[in-house]
Amino acid sequence: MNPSIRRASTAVSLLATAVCWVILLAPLVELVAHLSVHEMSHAFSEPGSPGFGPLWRSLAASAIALAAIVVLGTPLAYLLARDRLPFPRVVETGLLVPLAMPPLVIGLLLIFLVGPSSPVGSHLNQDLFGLNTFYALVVAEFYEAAPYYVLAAYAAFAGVDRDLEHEALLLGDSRRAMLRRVTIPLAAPGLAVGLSMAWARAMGAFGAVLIVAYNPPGLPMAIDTGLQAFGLNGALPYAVLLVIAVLPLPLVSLLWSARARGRLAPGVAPGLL
Amino acid sequence: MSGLSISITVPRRDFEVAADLLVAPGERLALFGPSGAGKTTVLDTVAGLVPPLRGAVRLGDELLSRPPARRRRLGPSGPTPAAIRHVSAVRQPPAVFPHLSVEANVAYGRSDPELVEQVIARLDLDGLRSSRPDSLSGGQIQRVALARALARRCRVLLLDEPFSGLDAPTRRSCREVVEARSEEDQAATVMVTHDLREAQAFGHRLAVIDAGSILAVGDPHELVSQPGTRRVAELVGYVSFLRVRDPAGRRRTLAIDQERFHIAGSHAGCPPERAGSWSTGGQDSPLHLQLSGRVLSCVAAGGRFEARLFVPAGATLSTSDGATFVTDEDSEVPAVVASPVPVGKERLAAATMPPTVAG
Repeated sequence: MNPSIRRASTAVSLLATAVCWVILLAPLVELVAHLSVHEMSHAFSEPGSPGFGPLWRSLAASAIALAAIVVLGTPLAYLLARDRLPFPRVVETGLLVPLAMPPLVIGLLLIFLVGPSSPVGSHLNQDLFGLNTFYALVVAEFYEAAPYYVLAAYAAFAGVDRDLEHEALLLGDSRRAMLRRVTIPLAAPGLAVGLSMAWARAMGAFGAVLIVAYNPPGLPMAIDTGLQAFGLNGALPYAVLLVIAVLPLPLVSLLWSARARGRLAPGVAPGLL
Repeated sequence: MSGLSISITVPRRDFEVAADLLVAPGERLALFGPSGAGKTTVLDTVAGLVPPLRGAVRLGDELLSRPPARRRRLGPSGPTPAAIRHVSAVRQPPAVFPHLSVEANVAYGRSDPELVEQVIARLDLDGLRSSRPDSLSGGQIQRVALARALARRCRVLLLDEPFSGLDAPTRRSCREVVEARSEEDQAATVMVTHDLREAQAFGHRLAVIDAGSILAVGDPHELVSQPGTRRVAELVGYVSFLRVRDPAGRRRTLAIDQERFHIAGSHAGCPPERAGSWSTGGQDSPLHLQLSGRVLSCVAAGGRFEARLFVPAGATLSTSDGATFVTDEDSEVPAVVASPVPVGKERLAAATMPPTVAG
């Protein structure tokens, strides 16, 4: 390529990267710049403010939802990736439905599923598991976040060379040992990315939560009610809290998985690079 | 019989692979054939990775692989537990675990710690113990896969092109290590290769497979010097075939290559047990050629020239031990001559062809 064209294309790429960064991160910088520690602490202790309750509630509900997603979603993703399920394309499409559906609609549908008059809901203790309870929050977050994890885990497992699994079995591993020693370590970078995406979705779940679990509030609901009651000053502290609570896991797991992927890359002869 | 008994039919997209083979404990069988002949399918079935459509693989009285109880639509199930206990395998391409060091790869699973140390030393992997596979060359990865298969006690050793990507001296030393381990464990050993020299050097017996069928099994030297059928002759390296008549007027096919020639039978494709095998009595017997024809082509081949002659009147071929054959009229005859002959000229070629002749 002509050196001047190459220089120009490099410059355009750098510029595009910079613009993307500014567009994506500037609001975050603004958010932090607009708040002082004093204002933050004042906001949480103000009369009528729900305090730190929404933070703990969101963390606990998301942790439970995520645990359920991992326990149920990991085997599903593995079986899907290994073509061991009947009608795999139907299952896959089923996973895409909640992803494609507007969260508000998911919330409405959940009323039909767990509401007091539904077949399932009528058998549940409505005070503990009904609408507007902690568990309703868990269920709403599960619905919003599960597809992100399952689809990422599906891709991660599909990326593990089946010959390596066969090799482990031939070398004397049981299926469980093979999963523990080969499949999961090799899929781990992809699983970590899926996990952090699901965590961010669960923590930030709002649409379905608004319908089935608005009170007691999690962090996104607290932002909404703060905005309604006190305007931006009431909403921003909770927004900062949400960002602080959400970001560490995705950042750490993205960095780790990028490193791990580099380590797991198949060997390439130097001459080919 | 405590050896490995293979009697299977395995479906493939293009054809069915059928194999009936017995490998005694400590015996080394080289399964030789062209690419796509079904060699690896046979090996994968013995390993339990591919279920056979019919038949079974047995080790002594123990069943290693058989058809699934009912047709599963849910994908391959992996090796059967029985296969796991006694089978060691090097597959192609070698699959080494990218997240483990060389030493962890070799010691993976049910390895024997003493053997791990032994094969690491003998396969010259000592300096690479803590290296990750992504920093290794193709040949080094091949040696890691080989070491891993040899670092455990086994009764069946399956090797799929185990020395590919290795240079000649390494290849030889690796082969010696494999042979030693195979004898030590008295393992029924099957090596798949498309390299005839390697198959001959390694195998106590040679099996030739083509398009899913085992064409011949036998002593490597015998099979190569007296291939029963034309196809086997082609596969073991004969490059020219000549239709001739023997003194009794029976039709035979004369198979010729750079170093050997052989009468394969009354006609090509005749079953081995009915082929009237005939040999010249070793490589020292020169093939004499007296023929008159038109030179169709003449190309340099090493220090000599390979020519093809069109012989309208037929040619007489005789060996030093007195046997004589006559080619058909209007046939093409390959010959090796000491000096170039002009193409298109009618000429008499009286060539005494040493064993290295002919083409």
